[in-house]
Amino acid sequence: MDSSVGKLKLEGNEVDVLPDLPSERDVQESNSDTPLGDMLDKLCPYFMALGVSYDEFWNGDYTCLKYYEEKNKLEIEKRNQELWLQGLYNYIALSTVIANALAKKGSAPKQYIEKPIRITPLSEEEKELEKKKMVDDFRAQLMALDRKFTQKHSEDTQGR
Amino acid sequence: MQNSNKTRIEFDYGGTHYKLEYTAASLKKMERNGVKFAKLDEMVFSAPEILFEGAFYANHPRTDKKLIREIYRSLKRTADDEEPEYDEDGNEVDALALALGSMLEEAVNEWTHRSGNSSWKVTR
Repeated sequence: MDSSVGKLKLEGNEVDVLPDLPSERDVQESNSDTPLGDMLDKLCPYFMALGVSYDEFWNGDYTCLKYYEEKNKLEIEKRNQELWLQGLYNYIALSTVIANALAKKGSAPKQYIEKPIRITPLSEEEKELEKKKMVDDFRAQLMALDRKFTQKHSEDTQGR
Repeated sequence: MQNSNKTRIEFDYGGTHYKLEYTAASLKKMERNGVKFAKLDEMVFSAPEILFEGAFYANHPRTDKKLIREIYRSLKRTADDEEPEYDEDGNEVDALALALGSMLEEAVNEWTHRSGNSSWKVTR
């Protein structure tokens, strides 16, 4: 097992995010005379922490244990994503508050994002709608620009 | 279990279906009974009956030792779907003992690989 798996680096310090496997020191101390039973006794609580029942560990199919380890890795990834997103929301909230506190008097207050950040992929239908909205927005901007230009042009013509 | 890759030995004897396999509990029990997994290779040739008996612990723990020995002696040394092999001296290779050995090797290596203890690895 990769020794870096289950470790989180925080400012140079490694933090365990996975339950402990028997440590490398344990392994170095052991040799072929170490009873396998002792090793199994050490592994049992590790797998129980991953959700394997006591009975499944001792009497079940050991080839299925790898799925528990994979599941655990995915859960850690998922939790990490959630925490990251939480941090992003906090950052946006704090930025909004600070921007409003430092804003010039009379300027429109900055609002916190109206809806949650989309994290799941868009469906084909949603992609089409998004594309259509972009085209419509662009068209509206062009028309507004055209109106402005026409108005300015007529003002200039009248002014002469 | 349907998706399992675990090696098992199955046969019928005296009207009973036997499914032999090793589990963590049976490995521990075998060790308590004197099996040295580090010397597995030697045991496959010198004491295959002990490995055979250990394979009963998981699913047939109450089977009498006499019956286990009787079954062991009665079983053909080659699996039904395989041709017998012979060594250099013309003796039939004990495929049953080898199958027990690799079944046990698979189990022992599975656990020792997890603990990271390479000194336990059994190779052929």
